[in-house]
Amino acid sequence: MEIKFTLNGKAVTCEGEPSDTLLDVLRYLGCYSLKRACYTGECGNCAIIMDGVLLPSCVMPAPQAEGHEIITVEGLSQTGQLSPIQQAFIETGAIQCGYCTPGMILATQTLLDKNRYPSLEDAKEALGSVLCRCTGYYQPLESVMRAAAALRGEALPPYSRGDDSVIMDEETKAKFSSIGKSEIKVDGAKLAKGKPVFVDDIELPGMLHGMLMTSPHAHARILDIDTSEAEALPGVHAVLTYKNVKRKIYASGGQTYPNPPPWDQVCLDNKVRFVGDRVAAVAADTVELCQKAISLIKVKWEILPAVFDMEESMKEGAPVIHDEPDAVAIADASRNKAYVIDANYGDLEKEFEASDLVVEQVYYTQQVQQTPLEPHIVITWLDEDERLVVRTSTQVPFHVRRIISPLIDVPVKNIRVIKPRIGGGFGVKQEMLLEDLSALLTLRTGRPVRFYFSRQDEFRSSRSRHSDRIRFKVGVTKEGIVRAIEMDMIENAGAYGVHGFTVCNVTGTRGLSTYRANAQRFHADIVYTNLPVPGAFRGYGGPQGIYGIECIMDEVAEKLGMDPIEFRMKNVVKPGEHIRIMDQLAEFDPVPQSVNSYGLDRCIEKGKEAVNWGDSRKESYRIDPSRPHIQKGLGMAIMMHGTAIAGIDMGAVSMKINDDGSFNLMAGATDLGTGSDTILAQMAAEVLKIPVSKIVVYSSDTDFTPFDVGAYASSTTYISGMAAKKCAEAIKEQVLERAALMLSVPKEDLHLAEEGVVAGDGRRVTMEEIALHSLHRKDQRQIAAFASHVSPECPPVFAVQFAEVEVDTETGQVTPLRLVMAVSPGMVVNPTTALGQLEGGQATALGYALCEEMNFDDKGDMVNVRFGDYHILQADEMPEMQSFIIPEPEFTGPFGAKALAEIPTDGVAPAVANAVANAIGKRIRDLPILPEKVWRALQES
Amino acid sequence: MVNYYRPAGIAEALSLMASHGGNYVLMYQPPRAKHVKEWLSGDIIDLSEAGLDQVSVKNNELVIGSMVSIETLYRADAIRGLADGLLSQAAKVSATQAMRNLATLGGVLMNPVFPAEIILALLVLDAQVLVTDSATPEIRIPIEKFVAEANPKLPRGSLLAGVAIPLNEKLKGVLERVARTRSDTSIVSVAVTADGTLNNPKIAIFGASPLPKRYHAAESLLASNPLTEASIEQCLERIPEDTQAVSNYRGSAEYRQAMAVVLTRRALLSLKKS
Ligand code: FES
Ligand code: FES
Repeated sequence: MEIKFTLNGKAVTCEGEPSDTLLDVLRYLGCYSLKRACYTGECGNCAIIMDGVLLPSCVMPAPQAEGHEIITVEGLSQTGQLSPIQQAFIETGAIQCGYCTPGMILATQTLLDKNRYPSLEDAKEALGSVLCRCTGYYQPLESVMRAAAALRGEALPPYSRGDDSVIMDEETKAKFSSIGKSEIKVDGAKLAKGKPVFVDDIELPGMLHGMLMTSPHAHARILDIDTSEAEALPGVHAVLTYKNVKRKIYASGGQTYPNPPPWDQVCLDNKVRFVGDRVAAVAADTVELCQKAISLIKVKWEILPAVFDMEESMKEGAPVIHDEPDAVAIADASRNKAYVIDANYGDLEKEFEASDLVVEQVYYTQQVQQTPLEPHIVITWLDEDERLVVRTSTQVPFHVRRIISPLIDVPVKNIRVIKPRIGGGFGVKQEMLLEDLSALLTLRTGRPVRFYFSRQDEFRSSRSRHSDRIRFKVGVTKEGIVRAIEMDMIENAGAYGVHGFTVCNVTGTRGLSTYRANAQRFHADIVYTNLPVPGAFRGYGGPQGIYGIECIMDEVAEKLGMDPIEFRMKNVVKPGEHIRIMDQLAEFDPVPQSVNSYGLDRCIEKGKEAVNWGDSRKESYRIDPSRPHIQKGLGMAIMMHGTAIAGIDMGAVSMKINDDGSFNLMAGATDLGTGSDTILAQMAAEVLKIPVSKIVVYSSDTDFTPFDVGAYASSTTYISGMAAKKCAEAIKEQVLERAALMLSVPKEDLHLAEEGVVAGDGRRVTMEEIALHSLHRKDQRQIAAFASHVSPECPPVFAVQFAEVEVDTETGQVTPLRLVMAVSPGMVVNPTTALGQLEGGQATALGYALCEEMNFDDKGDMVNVRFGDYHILQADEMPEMQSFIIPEPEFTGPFGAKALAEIPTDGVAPAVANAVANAIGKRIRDLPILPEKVWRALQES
Repeated sequence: MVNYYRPAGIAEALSLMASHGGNYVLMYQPPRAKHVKEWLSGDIIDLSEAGLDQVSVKNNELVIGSMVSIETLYRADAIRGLADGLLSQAAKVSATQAMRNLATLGGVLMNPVFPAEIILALLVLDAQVLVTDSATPEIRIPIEKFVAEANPKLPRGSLLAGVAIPLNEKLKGVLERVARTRSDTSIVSVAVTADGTLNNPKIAIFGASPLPKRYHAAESLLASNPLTEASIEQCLERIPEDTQAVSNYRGSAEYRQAMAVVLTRRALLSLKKS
């Protein structure tokens, strides 16, 4: 039917049926700022303003627009000028991946249209409509307040909270021109304008839709599959099943070559191992036809018994999940063990015997989902040379290219993987998840294919964080010196072992590396079950290990009657110390690791001061007589997290000069929204003494950008950053050589300054003159360079986390009041983006502590597959957050930098658990800390 | 092929409905939004311009149209002034602001199970559901009767016009809830009201039974007794008898039953204090 309405001030007439969502129709009209994220009205990423009111367009039948006036972000900057709201979002670092940004900006607009003087509570209420997984909401909230002030005509000082959070002396600051400065993100403006920069924001002629048929059973064999009716349906172009797709074993993790074991997947199998597993894939003209085709596929199932509990799964007689003969390197398929890890040093038994106190406890962590606001999506097509192009939302474009090549029988040279901007990853996109099927559909049909996950698919069929059972045993002297630590764990790998071993390795490392002991032992069984598949999730095993160790250290301190910080600091590793357990825990060959740069003691002091540690743990603070059912508590945790994978992670960068003295910087590194493109530009700008604005960053495209392992393991700043630094240094040499030629002086008499080169006698040539000379005038050559970097070290980052909570002792509900974190990330490159990483990471970790959990029915089907049921935290329920960045330069890192993207996810859960224990004197040892668990613990007394 | 209509008044809506037999869907969007495909079981009739989006006072009743948005329920002064803002608070916790803008009172009434705070408030405010059809301008159905099923049905040819709530300036109201986090959907929620003398308190609970409901047996123990700590404890003893809690991932049946008691106690004590 015909629909008439006003869109961004212009009258529009378009076609739309009641079965079309307004979101889809508006995107069809070019409003790509509206994002597809849930289609249940719960995330606000598709928000529009209709007649002055914010609405979720994904749950509105398109004809509802009839006669109304609609505004999208495209309408806010039609003259090319950014609105004050967009400007504020850019300045405050409120834009990370940018997927939620248009919704946030419109929510702000509707608030400020009605209220020129909003309070922080008003801002929280407005942004409460828009879910963001990146920022932790504080920078967006500051944007609201800043935009309000700008719209009132107030003079605004530069945004400074990022800079203010850095505790660094002026002398160190003054050494740098670009490093340590809160440069605006290089992609900020286009994201604020809602430009079509994400995978889904292109339309290709003849593009088909691809869709996965998933398993309704947790464990079943496909005895036969009949696709004839589906294939006969007009508009259906291809149906893939195990019958017509090559069987080739692989592991889907976006990890380096060769992928860590086990290899236990094939593109399409005749067996399913979890509800949501792959059964078939279809390509058709429309989404509806895909759904119809899937409904016509007839499967003859042999339902097999399923097992969901990891301890049950290892028992004799449990259903064997991987009985296929071609799986590679499964530790013990008959007992569902994907992998087993053992590591130890010292005489554990002797040390326990010699201990004055031995404490042993078991801790449980739950399976949770990364929930990037942009679900997985890939678009594949054949270019004019019949090469396969894969435009995909991935953290690992180069790994995707290598992994799909043998599965689809296309050589690597004929595959081009493009990663445009991506709407968050948090590890879930460190995977080859849909690309093989989309590519196969394109190869079969010769047509472009758009293949995506709905939010429900994302929950059921993508990746998640492993749930664990971790037993810790700690032996100490009565003086509080740790003699021995034993860590014994089972990791639930779900249906496939991808990332299982490596995540568990990190859980063990992080569980045992923070504290020294005469003896340590680690044992882990990584066990298959018929549950959805975990994978990489920001923190990569760290949150589980640190949760366990930081809870038991608190318990030991309590039993010793010692202050928990004092006890920890007696035992924590110090600079120069060798971390012995890491001699045995590594992905490939272990590389001995020691502590270099540190900063933990300064972090502790700063954090203690901020939370008023001594007084805040006293009874008088915890209990408020006017609210007898409320008790407050303060807890803390120490975190240590690695930087990159030693000897494995490699990044490369290339640069070239342009006629105007600007540079193109091409990086294989993938900016997930973290700001790594900006950081690489800052590193290069620092070397070349030019503004960041003179560097055009492009990442990543396997045809044009050099290799990089991708965005994971907190490696981009440290590894790709060093590659950028080295590359810029090579450019610098060429620039100086050219200037020497132009000025007829020895190169040694020259130095770079202010976008040019200055000679000892004061003469100067600009970078533009150097570019023009080198490209057009004499001895012409392209000033260009390329560099790569790999590090034999993975220098640990240290941090401390504090959490203050209120516990309702009648209901068990825990309300977080404040999170305080202090981190020493080496040198900080960009304080504003660093602050965003810290706050976003803590927000995710707070959800992990309090509410997030993938819940399953007795058939293994996830029951909370809507955002509203799963519940990631909203802006209107965030506690106060304070973060301190305390740089201590790391000599192996670029300009002294290490990392900070993952460590904020590590400490919140144990700090909250310890705060709850401080409040009520009871310990909750399984996550999340739901009201009922607290209530039950209180009933026991 | 499904058609979409937006009638300009109730009469036009009713005549459209009549002309469609039973083959139409009245689009009342609930706070737990429906996917667009869920509206397609017949031609869609959008009542947003049918004049049902008003909040007014008539004959000592507050009349709220079925197309009044949940955001208006939250913000309208007339609603904030009622029973200490009970209905307003209930509206606020029902959804995010964007969803409150889209969802309507009618959507809540037609989908009373989840979230249920608005229904709880209406239950203890003794609301009457107003239904109209071409023969009868106003049919009144007590809210308790209307939401006795998870999916209330309207007789063919009739539409939901709104609710009427008796006005009582002295009415006190309290909403209590427990959830995993502040903005998460409730595990258990309780609404209570009482008049200025604190006689005849009314209690409604969700989360401890499959449907939101009044707890008459418990109420009756307070009807003839002054609200004291002792009488409250007596009343609370009756709550578990009326619960049929169902466990889910937010909370077990046992916890839900216990919370029904805890939150009712808290709400009644709060009334007493006020
Ligand atoms: S996509 Fe519309 S609210 Fe999430
Ligand atoms: S910036 Fe909000 S979801 Fe990424």
